[in-house]
Amino acid sequence: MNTMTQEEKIQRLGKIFQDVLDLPGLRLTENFSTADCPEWDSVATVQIVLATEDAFGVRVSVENVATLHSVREILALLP
Amino acid sequence: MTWALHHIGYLTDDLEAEAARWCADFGYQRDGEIYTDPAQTAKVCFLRLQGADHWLELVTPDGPSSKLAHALRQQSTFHHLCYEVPNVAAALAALRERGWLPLGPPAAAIAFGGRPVAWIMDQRRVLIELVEAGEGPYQQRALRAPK
Repeated sequence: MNTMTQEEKIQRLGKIFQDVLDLPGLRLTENFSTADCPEWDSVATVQIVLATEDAFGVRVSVENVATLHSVREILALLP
Repeated sequence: MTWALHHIGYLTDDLEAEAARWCADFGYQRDGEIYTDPAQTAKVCFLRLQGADHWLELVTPDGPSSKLAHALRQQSTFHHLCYEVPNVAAALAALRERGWLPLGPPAAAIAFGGRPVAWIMDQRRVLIELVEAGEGPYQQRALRAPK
Protein backbone atom coordinates (compact mmCIF):
# COMPACT_ATOMS: atom_id res chain seq x y z
CA MET A 1 0.00 0.00 0.00
CA ASN A 2 2.70 2.47 1.02
CA THR A 3 4.63 1.80 -2.17
CA MET A 4 1.78 2.84 -4.45
CA THR A 5 2.31 6.02 -6.38
CA GLN A 6 -0.38 8.68 -6.62
CA GLU A 7 -0.96 7.64 -10.22
CA GLU A 8 -1.48 4.01 -9.21
CA LYS A 9 -3.96 5.07 -6.54
CA ILE A 10 -5.89 7.19 -9.05
CA GLN A 11 -5.90 4.26 -11.48
CA ARG A 12 -7.37 1.98 -8.82
CA LEU A 13 -9.89 4.65 -7.81
CA GLY A 14 -10.81 5.07 -11.46
CA LYS A 15 -12.27 1.56 -11.65
CA ILE A 16 -14.28 2.23 -8.49
CA PHE A 17 -15.66 5.50 -9.85
CA GLN A 18 -16.53 3.84 -13.16
CA ASP A 19 -18.47 1.12 -11.38
CA VAL A 20 -20.24 3.28 -8.79
CA LEU A 21 -21.14 6.11 -11.18
CA ASP A 22 -21.87 3.68 -14.03
CA LEU A 23 -19.54 5.65 -16.30
CA PRO A 24 -17.32 3.02 -17.99
CA GLY A 25 -15.54 5.64 -20.11
CA LEU A 26 -14.60 7.88 -17.20
CA ARG A 27 -10.93 8.92 -17.06
CA LEU A 28 -10.33 9.94 -13.48
CA THR A 29 -8.05 12.78 -12.47
CA GLU A 30 -7.11 14.22 -9.10
CA ASN A 31 -9.23 17.28 -9.85
CA PHE A 32 -12.41 15.35 -10.68
CA SER A 33 -15.18 16.57 -8.40
CA THR A 34 -18.91 16.49 -7.77
CA ALA A 35 -19.16 19.68 -9.81
CA ASP A 36 -18.05 17.70 -12.88
CA CYS A 37 -20.53 14.88 -12.46
CA PRO A 38 -24.24 15.04 -11.58
CA GLU A 39 -24.22 11.29 -10.94
CA TRP A 40 -21.84 11.81 -7.99
CA ASP A 41 -24.33 12.37 -5.17
CA SER A 42 -24.10 11.59 -1.45
CA VAL A 43 -25.16 7.96 -1.93
CA ALA A 44 -22.42 7.56 -4.55
CA THR A 45 -19.91 9.07 -2.12
CA VAL A 46 -20.76 6.41 0.45
CA GLN A 47 -20.38 3.67 -2.15
CA ILE A 48 -17.07 5.12 -3.36
CA VAL A 49 -15.64 5.32 0.16
CA LEU A 50 -16.76 1.79 1.08
CA ALA A 51 -15.40 0.35 -2.18
CA THR A 52 -12.16 2.27 -1.65
CA GLU A 53 -11.79 0.68 1.78
CA ASP A 54 -12.19 -2.76 0.21
CA ALA A 55 -9.87 -2.08 -2.70
CA PHE A 56 -7.09 -0.57 -0.60
CA GLY A 57 -7.57 -2.77 2.44
CA VAL A 58 -7.93 0.19 4.77
CA ARG A 59 -10.55 1.65 7.08
CA VAL A 60 -10.62 5.40 6.53
CA SER A 61 -11.53 8.00 9.11
CA VAL A 62 -14.23 10.28 7.82
CA GLU A 63 -16.35 12.51 10.04
CA ASN A 64 -18.85 13.50 7.40
CA VAL A 65 -19.08 12.01 3.92
CA ALA A 66 -21.07 15.06 2.81
CA THR A 67 -17.82 17.04 2.96
CA LEU A 68 -16.12 14.84 0.35
CA HIS A 69 -16.43 16.48 -3.05
CA SER A 70 -13.32 15.56 -5.03
CA VAL A 71 -10.90 12.76 -5.85
CA ARG A 72 -8.20 14.79 -4.12
CA GLU A 73 -10.17 14.69 -0.86
CA ILE A 74 -10.64 10.92 -1.16
CA LEU A 75 -6.93 10.45 -1.89
CA ALA A 76 -6.22 12.38 1.30
CA LEU A 77 -8.05 9.69 3.28
CA LEU A 78 -5.63 7.02 2.09
CA PRO A 79 -2.40 6.25 3.94
CA MET B 1 -26.22 -3.35 21.79
CA THR B 2 -29.98 -3.71 21.44
CA TRP B 3 -31.77 -2.76 18.24
CA ALA B 4 -35.48 -2.00 18.41
CA LEU B 5 -37.31 -1.15 15.19
CA HIS B 6 -38.51 2.39 15.77
CA HIS B 7 -40.00 3.32 12.41
CA ILE B 8 -40.07 2.67 8.69
CA GLY B 9 -39.31 5.79 6.68
CA TYR B 10 -41.45 6.34 3.59
CA LEU B 11 -40.56 9.15 1.20
CA THR B 12 -43.34 11.12 -0.47
CA ASP B 13 -43.91 14.43 -2.21
CA ASP B 14 -47.20 15.03 -0.38
CA LEU B 15 -47.43 14.27 3.36
CA GLU B 16 -51.14 14.95 3.72
CA ALA B 17 -52.22 12.89 0.72
CA GLU B 18 -49.88 10.03 1.67
CA ALA B 19 -51.09 10.02 5.28
CA ALA B 20 -54.70 9.92 4.15
CA ARG B 21 -53.92 7.00 1.85
CA TRP B 22 -52.20 4.88 4.52
CA CYS B 23 -54.95 5.65 7.04
CA ALA B 24 -57.74 4.80 4.61
CA ASP B 25 -56.12 1.71 3.07
CA PHE B 26 -54.56 0.05 6.13
CA GLY B 27 -56.11 1.66 9.20
CA TYR B 28 -53.13 3.72 10.36
CA GLN B 29 -53.80 6.63 12.67
CA ARG B 30 -51.98 9.96 12.72
CA ASP B 31 -49.70 10.31 15.75
CA GLY B 32 -48.67 13.92 16.34
CA GLU B 33 -48.10 16.94 14.17
CA ILE B 34 -45.98 17.60 11.11
CA TYR B 35 -42.42 18.49 12.15
CA THR B 36 -40.02 20.55 10.04
CA ASP B 37 -36.37 19.77 10.77
CA PRO B 38 -33.87 22.03 8.96
CA ALA B 39 -30.95 19.79 9.98
CA GLN B 40 -32.59 16.90 8.16
CA THR B 41 -33.91 19.18 5.37
CA ALA B 42 -37.20 17.38 5.82
CA LYS B 43 -40.77 17.53 7.00
CA VAL B 44 -42.02 14.41 8.75
CA CYS B 45 -45.13 13.01 10.37
CA PHE B 46 -45.78 9.72 12.10
CA LEU B 47 -48.55 7.15 11.68
CA ARG B 48 -49.15 4.04 13.74
CA LEU B 49 -51.35 0.99 13.62
CA GLN B 50 -53.27 0.35 16.80
CA GLY B 51 -51.14 -1.86 19.07
CA ALA B 52 -48.05 -1.70 16.83
CA ASP B 53 -44.63 -1.29 18.45
CA HIS B 54 -43.23 0.96 15.73
CA TRP B 55 -44.27 3.88 13.54
CA LEU B 56 -44.53 4.59 9.85
CA GLU B 57 -42.72 7.87 9.24
CA LEU B 58 -43.74 9.86 6.19
CA VAL B 59 -40.91 12.09 4.98
CA THR B 60 -40.88 14.84 2.40
CA PRO B 61 -38.19 17.34 1.35
CA ASP B 62 -38.51 20.75 3.02
CA GLY B 63 -37.63 22.45 -0.28
CA PRO B 64 -36.01 21.95 -3.68
CA SER B 65 -32.48 21.94 -2.22
CA SER B 66 -33.29 19.24 0.36
CA LYS B 67 -30.93 16.28 0.63
CA LEU B 68 -34.02 14.14 -0.02
CA ALA B 69 -35.00 15.75 -3.32
CA HIS B 70 -32.70 13.52 -5.37
CA ALA B 71 -34.00 10.32 -3.73
CA LEU B 72 -37.56 11.46 -4.33
CA ARG B 73 -36.83 12.06 -8.02
CA GLN B 74 -35.58 8.47 -8.16
CA GLN B 75 -38.90 7.37 -6.68
CA SER B 76 -37.20 5.67 -3.76
CA THR B 77 -40.35 5.53 -1.65
CA PHE B 78 -39.40 2.96 0.98
CA HIS B 79 -36.45 4.99 2.16
CA HIS B 80 -35.02 3.73 5.45
CA LEU B 81 -35.42 1.70 8.62
CA CYS B 82 -34.85 3.39 11.97
CA TYR B 83 -33.68 1.54 15.05
CA GLU B 84 -33.85 2.89 18.59
CA VAL B 85 -30.60 2.19 20.40
CA PRO B 86 -29.33 2.94 23.90
CA ASN B 87 -26.40 5.00 22.59
CA VAL B 88 -26.14 6.29 19.01
CA ALA B 89 -22.38 6.87 19.12
CA ALA B 90 -21.75 3.32 20.33
CA ALA B 91 -24.10 1.89 17.69
CA LEU B 92 -22.31 3.86 14.96
CA ALA B 93 -18.96 2.53 16.14
CA ALA B 94 -20.26 -1.06 16.18
CA LEU B 95 -21.69 -0.76 12.66
CA ARG B 96 -18.53 0.95 11.39
CA GLU B 97 -16.61 -2.15 12.46
CA ARG B 98 -19.03 -4.21 10.37
CA GLY B 99 -18.42 -2.18 7.22
CA TRP B 100 -21.16 0.45 7.43
CA LEU B 101 -20.34 4.12 6.83
CA PRO B 102 -21.89 6.96 8.84
CA LEU B 103 -23.20 9.76 6.65
CA GLY B 104 -22.31 12.32 9.29
CA PRO B 105 -22.06 12.92 13.02
CA PRO B 106 -25.14 12.47 15.24
CA ALA B 107 -27.51 15.45 15.25
CA ALA B 108 -30.40 16.49 17.49
CA ALA B 109 -33.77 15.66 15.93
CA ILE B 110 -36.66 18.04 16.43
CA ALA B 111 -39.33 15.34 16.16
CA PHE B 112 -37.68 13.36 18.96
CA GLY B 113 -37.33 16.25 21.39
CA GLY B 114 -33.64 16.71 20.62
CA ARG B 115 -32.60 13.08 21.05
CA PRO B 116 -29.68 12.40 18.69
CA VAL B 117 -30.13 10.63 15.37
CA ALA B 118 -27.54 9.45 12.86
CA TRP B 119 -27.59 7.93 9.40
CA ILE B 120 -25.53 5.01 8.14
CA MET B 121 -25.33 3.09 4.86
CA ASP B 122 -23.68 -0.06 3.55
CA GLN B 123 -22.57 -1.28 0.12
CA ARG B 124 -26.05 -2.62 -0.64
CA ARG B 125 -27.26 1.00 -0.32
CA VAL B 126 -29.38 0.06 2.68
CA LEU B 127 -30.07 3.27 4.58
CA ILE B 128 -30.49 3.04 8.35
CA GLU B 129 -31.35 5.77 10.82
CA LEU B 130 -30.43 5.39 14.49
CA VAL B 131 -32.30 7.25 17.22
CA GLU B 132 -31.15 7.31 20.80
CA ALA B 133 -33.50 6.04 23.48
CA GLY B 134 -34.41 8.54 26.16
CA GLU B 135 -36.94 11.08 27.27
CA GLY B 136 -39.18 12.86 24.80
CA PRO B 137 -41.75 12.05 22.15
CA TYR B 138 -41.86 8.84 20.13
CA GLN B 139 -40.11 6.49 22.56
CA GLN B 140 -40.19 2.99 21.12
CA ARG B 141 -39.73 1.46 24.54
CA ALA B 142 -42.99 3.13 25.64
CA LEU B 143 -44.81 1.10 22.97
CA ARG B 144 -43.36 -2.08 24.46
CA ALA B 145 -44.29 -1.26 28.06
CA PRO B 146 -46.66 -3.75 29.67
CA LYS B 147 -50.27 -2.62 29.41
